[in-house]
Amino acid sequence: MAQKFSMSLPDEVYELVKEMAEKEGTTLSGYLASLAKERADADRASRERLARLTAKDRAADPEGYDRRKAEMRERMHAAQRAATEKKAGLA
Amino acid sequence: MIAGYVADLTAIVRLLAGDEEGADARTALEVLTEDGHALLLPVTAFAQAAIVADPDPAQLMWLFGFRSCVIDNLTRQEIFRVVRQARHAPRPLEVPLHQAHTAHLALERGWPVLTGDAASWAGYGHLEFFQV
Repeated sequence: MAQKFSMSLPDEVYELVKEMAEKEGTTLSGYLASLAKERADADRASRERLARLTAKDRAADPEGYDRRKAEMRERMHAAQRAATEKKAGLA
Repeated sequence: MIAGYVADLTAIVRLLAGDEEGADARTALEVLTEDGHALLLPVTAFAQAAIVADPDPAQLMWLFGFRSCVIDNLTRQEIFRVVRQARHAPRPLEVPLHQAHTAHLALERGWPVLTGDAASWAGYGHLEFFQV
């Protein structure tokens, strides 16, 4: 099943994508769909590798790792808020 | 992408290392991908990290693969703003391009800098840093 939707591309990008699709013997829609799938596959592969690496990091002390990760998330969010405030203060 | 972080050279090197020293950087990457946040990789810092860390190409592709990781180019329109960021350092004439570029992106977005060496950012009190 395929969903239909309209999209806008700058003229130069449209021409480029059309040319690349023709070279690969596919339609514009087919070409864009394959690009999107490739991107999603790459993201999944990277996330899976990260999960394997962090599983090793976590293995020695799972509870400690989870606690540190939760603390890190809080501090990362605090840093985001502080960065936003600093930028607003400069404006 | 509504929120995120900018990685500096040291953070990228730690991510590429894949060893124990990169554990905090990996956890930070795990957190931000779970949160749906972005990690900007300044092209200058990314290239320098690839030079100094000499990683396996698979490691580079691993970072490229994340939807969260966005390589940000340096355009000619940004040069003066990048140079302005170099002026904050104690020795402004010695600031490497990747550091000034990272500072510019962090300021422009209002995002914290992920760094493995917060001490190297003396003079950049107008930015926020997160040590990994």
